[in-house]
Order: sequence, then C-alpha cells, then structure tokens
Amino acid sequence: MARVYAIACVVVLALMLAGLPRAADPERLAAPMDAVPKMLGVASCAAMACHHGNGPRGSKGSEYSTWVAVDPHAKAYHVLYNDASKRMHEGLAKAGEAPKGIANAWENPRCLACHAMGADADCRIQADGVGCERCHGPAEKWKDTHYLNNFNRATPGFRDLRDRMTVRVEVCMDCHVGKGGQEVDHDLIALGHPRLRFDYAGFYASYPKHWVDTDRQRFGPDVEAQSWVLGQLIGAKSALRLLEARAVDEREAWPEFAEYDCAACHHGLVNDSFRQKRDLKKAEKKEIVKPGEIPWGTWYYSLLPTLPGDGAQKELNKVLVDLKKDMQRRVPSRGDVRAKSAAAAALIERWLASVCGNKYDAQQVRALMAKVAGQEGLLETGWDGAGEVYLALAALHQALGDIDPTLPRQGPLYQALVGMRKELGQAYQEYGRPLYDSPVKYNPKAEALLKGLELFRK
Amino acid sequence: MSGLTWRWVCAFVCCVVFVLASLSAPTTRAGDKPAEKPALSGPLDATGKPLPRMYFGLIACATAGCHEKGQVANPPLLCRCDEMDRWKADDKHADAYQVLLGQRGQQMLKILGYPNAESAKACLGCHAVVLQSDKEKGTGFNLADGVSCVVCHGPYNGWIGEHSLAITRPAFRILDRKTKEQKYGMTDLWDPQKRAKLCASCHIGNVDEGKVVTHDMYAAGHPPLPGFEIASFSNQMPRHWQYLAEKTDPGVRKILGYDGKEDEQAKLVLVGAAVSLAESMRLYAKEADKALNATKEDDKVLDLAHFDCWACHHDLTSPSWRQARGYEGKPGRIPMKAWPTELIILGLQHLGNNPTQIQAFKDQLAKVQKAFTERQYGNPAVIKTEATNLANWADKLAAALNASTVGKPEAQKLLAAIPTLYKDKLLDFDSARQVGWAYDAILDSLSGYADKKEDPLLVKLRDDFGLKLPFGRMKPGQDGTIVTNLGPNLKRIYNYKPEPFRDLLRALDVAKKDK
Repeated sequence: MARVYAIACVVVLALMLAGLPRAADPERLAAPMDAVPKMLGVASCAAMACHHGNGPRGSKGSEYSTWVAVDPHAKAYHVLYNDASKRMHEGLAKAGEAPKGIANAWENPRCLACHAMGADADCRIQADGVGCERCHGPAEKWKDTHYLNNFNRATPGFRDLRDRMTVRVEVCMDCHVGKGGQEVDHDLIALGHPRLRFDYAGFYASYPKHWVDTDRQRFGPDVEAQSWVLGQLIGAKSALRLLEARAVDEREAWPEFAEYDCAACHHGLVNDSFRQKRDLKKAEKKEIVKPGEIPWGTWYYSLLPTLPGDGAQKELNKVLVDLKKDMQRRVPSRGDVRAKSAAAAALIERWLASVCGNKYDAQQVRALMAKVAGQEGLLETGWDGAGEVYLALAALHQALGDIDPTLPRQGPLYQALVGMRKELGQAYQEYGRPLYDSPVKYNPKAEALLKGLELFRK
Repeated sequence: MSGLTWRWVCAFVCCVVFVLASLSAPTTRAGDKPAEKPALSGPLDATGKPLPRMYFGLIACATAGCHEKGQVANPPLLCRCDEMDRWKADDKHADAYQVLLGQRGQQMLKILGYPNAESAKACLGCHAVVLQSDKEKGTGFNLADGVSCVVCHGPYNGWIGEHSLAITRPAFRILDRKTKEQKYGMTDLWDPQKRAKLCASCHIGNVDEGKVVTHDMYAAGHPPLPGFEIASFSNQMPRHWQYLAEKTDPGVRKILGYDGKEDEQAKLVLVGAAVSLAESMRLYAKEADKALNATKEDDKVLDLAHFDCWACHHDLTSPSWRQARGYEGKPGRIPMKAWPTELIILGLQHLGNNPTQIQAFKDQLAKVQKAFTERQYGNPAVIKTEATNLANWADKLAAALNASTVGKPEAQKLLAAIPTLYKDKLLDFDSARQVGWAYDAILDSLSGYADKKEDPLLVKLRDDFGLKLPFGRMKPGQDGTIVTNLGPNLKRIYNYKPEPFRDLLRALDVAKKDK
C-alpha cells in the first residue's frame, strides 16, 4: 500500500514538475511575480464572518453590507441597463465610436472603465459595479493576510486608504475627474451622460461611509480642512493630466468641449445679454474684448490662488494664466497645451509635497475662509465659480467646528451656508436636475451669496 | 395744378435728374480701363466688359416724383408710382444703415473695435453699400439710404436713365426682362432664381461680396440670421410691387413673360429653397477656403457663425428632445445648420420624384454634414470640396425647378406633399419654420391671397412657429425693428419643441385627406 502511495506521489510530483516552467525560461518564471495582482470580486469579501455582518450601517464587520445597501458605487454597473445608457451606447455605436461586436452599454469597455471593475477586468466580476477592490486594490496578494495584526500595509495591490490621505484622494480621480483613455468627453455628454464636476471634500462628506470613521483621531480635528486642500490640489492636477492626454495630436475632438464651462455656450439667447453688456463695458474702458470667447477651467482651478503652501503658486499661476489664454483660443495649439498642462501638473506635485501632512489650527482655517470668501469675482463667472466657493466654505466651516467644539454648530456662518446652498439649488429649479440641467436661474448678485461671502470674510 | 401740367413737371424733373446723373456718371469709352477690378458679377457691355456700377440715392427714384406719389388714378404701364411710399412706410431695408447708429449698432461697433459705422465695411456690405471706387457714386448717393432701390434693382446708369427719361421711357418699358437686365443692368427680380440669389447674398451671406456675419458679430449683439424663405420674406418686406397674378393687363403680362397660369409663390418656394442651399454651401465652401489659406492659427477653421446656432445655444434640460432625437454625424460636435437643406426633397418630388436623384442628394448632403462634425469646427478641406459639389448640384436643381411648370395643379400637389413629407420628422426651429413658411406661402397664392385667419391650424402655424416677421420701420430713438422684437422671438425659439410642430403637420395631413 505504501509503495503504491509512494509511486502515486512520484507520478504526481513528476506531473507537477512537468507543468512548471523550466528554469531555462526565466521570463516565464518571473512574469507572474511582476504582474498586476488579480481582482477577486466582491464575493470574496462578502462572507458573513468578514464584511457582510449585516450589522448597523457602517459598523465594523458590516462594510460590504453597508456598501451593497446604500452606496451608489454598488449600482454603477446596473445603471448600464437603463434607457439612458442604452441611448448613449447606441449613439456611440451609430457614430462609429463603439467597438465592433459590442451590442450593449454593459459590454462596452468605455462604460465598464468606470461603471464596473475596469475596461479589461474579468467579465465575471463586472456586475459587482465599482466593487471593493476598485478602490482598495486588487486583493489577490492581500486577501489572506489583511485581517492579521501584523499585516504589511505595503503589500502589492493593497491601497492604504485609511492611513494615507493622498492615496484616498487620488483613488477617486481616475473616474470622477477622468484620465487619458478613461473620460467623459463632450460626445458622451451630448448623448446624455452628466458632466463630471468633482469636488473631493464635498463628495467625501456626503459619501455613505461603510467604515467606522476614525479620521479625526487619525489625522486630527482639522481633517476636513486637510481634505479640502488636498482635494483641490489633486483635483486640479488630475484635470491637468487629463487635459494633457486630451491634447494628443491624433484626437479628432479638439479642443475638447468638456474642458469648458457648459453655460458658456449652452445658454438660451436673450435680447438683453449680460455677456454683451460686460463686453461693452470692457470696450469702453479700452480693454481687450474677445466677443464669443469660451471660458476655460471654471471648475478645477478657480480656488487654487487661495490655497496654503509655498513656492509653487506664483509659478503655477503664471502657467495657468498662459494655459487659459491658449485654451480660450479657437484652436489651441496641442503642443503648447500639452507642455503647459504637464508643467502645471508637475508644479502642483511640488506644491502637494509641501502641504502634505499640514495641520491647520482655527486661526489658519479662518484665514482660509476669508481668502475663499474674498473670491467674490468668481460669482460673476457663473454657477461653477459660486459652487466651488460654497463647497470650500462648507468644508472649512466643518473643520472649524471640529477644531473648536465650543463654537455654536448652527451659528450665523452655518445659516449663511444654508442660505447659499438654497440659492445655488434654486438656480436649477426650473428643470430640477443639477447633474444635467443648466442653472437657468443663477443670479450672481443674489443676496444670499453676497451676504454669505461678506460674513465669511469677517 | 392740373393733371397735365403736373405730368410735364414730372417729366422735366426726371430729365434734370437724369442729366445730373449722367454728368456724374463716367461713360465707358473705348480704351478706358475696366472700372476697378470686377469683384462683383454683373451685366456686361457689348464688348464683354462689365458695365460700370452706379449707385443713385433714393432721391433719384423718389423726389423726382416718379415712385413717391401715393395712389394715382391712372398709373403708367408696369408701375403704380407708390413704390417708394410703401417702402418708406414699412420696409426695414430703409433702416438698414440707421440701425448701425442705434444703441445696438453702437454697442456692436464698440465691441468689435470700429471707430464708426461709415468705416465698418464688414457691416456696410449688407447695411448699405460698399463702393468699389468713388466713380460708383451716383446722384444723391447716401449711405444713410441703407439697402436702397438700386441695391436690388441694379446699380446701373443704363436702365435708370432709360426708364426715367420721358423720351426713352416708352420704348424701354416694353422691352422684355432679359434685355432690360443684360443690356441695361436692371436686375430681373421677377426671375425667382435671380431674386433669391440676390436676397441670399445678405440674408445668407456672400464671401466674394464681403457679406459675412461672423460669430464675433453675433456675440457683440447682431441678431441671429433666421432661415431664409424667399416667398415669405418677399411678402413680408412688405412688398411694394404687385403679384404677377394681380397684373391683369395682357400687355404687362406679355412684357413680363407671365402666362397667367404659373403659381408664382409655389415656384418661388421651390426655387428659393434650392438657392438657399446653393448659397449656404457656397458660403461654407468659400469660408472653408479662407480657412485653408489662413496664416493665423485661429482662422484655420470655419467661423462658428456657419454652424447651427441653436445646437449650442440652448439651456440644458432633461429630458432633452435633442438627445431623444439623436444626432446626424458624431454626437457632441457642432453640426451644420439644417434649415437650408429642407424643402429640397419637395423640389425633387416635384421634378418627378426620381429615387436616384433623391439618393444622390442625400449622399452628397451626408458628406458635407460629416465634414462638419468629423472634428471640432469641421474639416475645412473636405467642406470646401463637398460643399462646392453640393452648391453646384443645387444650382442645377434651382435652374431645373425654375424651368419647370408650376401651375395650380402642381401647387396643390406640393401643398398636399408638405405635411406628408414632414409629419414624422423632428425638426429644429429654423427647419420647422422653413416648412411652415413654404406651406403658408403656397396656400396663400392657391387661395387667391384671401384671409385665412379663421382656420385654427393655420393660425397656430403662424403664431406658434413665428412665421410673422417683425414688421415696420424703426422708431426714433429706438433700435431697429428686429432688435426691439428680438426678446419674444428668441423666447419662442427657446421654448420650441419639435413634437408640437410634427403634430400640427399630422393634423394638416388629416385635414387634407378630409377635404
């Protein structure tokens, strides 16, 4: 019996050896080690004993339960089955912009890039939507160890979203701002996709958290301020990298209209146009007027001048002013735009290094608030500018309350924010879908906005 | 003053005016250099040289007592003598220059950086006259006359003298249209193709004549150029002439070559549509050519003014009828204006409904549309080639339609065909109005220009889709009529949705079958 067993073992071993790559083939041996770790799908996280405890929302052990119940990311794939997605996919296909042989949005790699586990992910896990590993990193190498006390948080594939705030901010950008080859362009928007307009701090604040929030202990009470500063910088950097990718020579849609303020062109024409009055005023003051020019970069770059830090701002501002000039020409030079957006992104990297880990006390937060509130001119640039100002003040106000718990939670500043929010929301009232519609009733001179800013300036 | 004396006075004044005109007019002598470079096409003299242009002021037509008399009891052949009265009373062309001095005009000049109206050649091409040289200044020439009589009727000394001078007048009047035009330079506005082409030079644009509205001008405050339907625009000038059908004198009909059977409005609609297409395409092709030869980077694409204004200029709403309808070509690119391409199929149906021809049109149109959207701001090289091809094709179509028989039976067929052709289409505002105007104009002449107010469908068509153009002259101290009416007209476009128009055409289709 033992002999039979031994022979069987030898045979099995021989078979196993035969199946192994030979030592003479080092590339084949090395390949699996260097390859990107695999994604396993949410099913491998959702065991009851692990993350599907079905406990209270956000409690330890119920991360998956919370995500699947309330997180919009869990539905990202399923929306590809709705009528709007069908229309978008068919529009792309009609224009020859969908790969051949792909009949549906839920199979279109362009959609899957953000609405599921990635354009090239295993089709068996796509239905998970934006599942655990899309943010936490592919789990092949860390699934079996990540719950251990001595878990190495630098394990390949693992993204340290808990301890490293820049990693956390960066992880959203590829989809919510976009990157080369993975973006929402004007073609897609015309077919019905909402325009992307990402503000990290604002989005994060309203994100249904599936974890026990320990940020204040971990990063300090000023975490909202840190998060706003990093969100601004990393958002701008990602937008610049995207612009750099968009400016490649082979791209036919250039300039890419998604780069501009939608309302610059998309406004119903009226007889008494404020744009014409503005241009007339400029002309009367002998300033240069470019009638019909399309404003660029109204969302991501407007508040950069208010951010703390040192060194890079002045240089960056110069590059951005230049880039704006380029982008507002009818046909921007692709080479210039590539060079300038790359230079600006690199400057932001430098800036990031100088503010990363910065802490803000109450006085500094107040100073930031006053600086942001001093950007009154942004109200005139349209809803985008006002929206960014509001989101900044909301984040900073939260930070101030966290730093100094003695401050009244619903004091005059809070009331001012409520008023601004209402005003900005009302701008959409006519149609009521801010993701899709024009803020037709936006009024840059609204009392709630002007008075709100005045209060924050004090 | 008795009638007789009055006539003699008139004749005398006419003579004086003509003599004055002749004195200031350089006559062509053998050996003279051709007057400047003939940038503008026009009639030629016996030796094949272009006749020298000569712009007379209103004074030559009005003050002489010929065309500004009010109603007269026994008007002479071909003329009612009150043309100037009608023109001065209500015609916006008379304000063409004055509007440049209004608030909006001044705003535009400042934003665009022109020191004043009289030096703004880009404006004067359509709002007055750009003289090629001082030699073209005729008696009483005045920029302030705007788009004056001779701008349309022909800025040539020949016919103005012949038709006003008492001695030459009788012989001139009975000449046929062709002779008057080719020999004397009096534009043959009775010819639908010629009339439409002339009007289109401003109402659509003409690069060679320097008449191009740019996006800069729009952004500075120029009202958007509407779609151009020649029959309706002629009617709503308002017209200072009679319809052919109203001219009952057989002698007049003979001179004008009118057989009494032709449906003038229906033919104008068909020919006008083909000319609108041809002139739009020619404008795009020539602008594309300019872009190809441009040295400045920003000028290397087609100006935004040549795209569909309303494709971008609408507030974003959801649900959106544009998204529901879908797009020709790539989504999210700026498409070509659609209105100049409407009513062409109607013309082709009239010419025998040849499926090969219809397909050829659709194929060629698709090529141009693709060139507009294949990249941002279009591909000028392809637009130049393909739009030129389509323009040449449309020229031939216009000529064929002009030569075809459009009598009452044909007009009735056309009227019936319009709702059928469009009852399942979702048209943009300008296209819908083009179709509406065509329907209204043909019906107008078929019903003997009777008042059709009582038909609720037609009232809806006219009121809801803006078939009525702003009417009348500008008031002192105000902007031009178009600008003062711009608010509500833009609001109508803003609120436009294609389904109600389609439903109206369906209703007209049903109503037609009931009849």
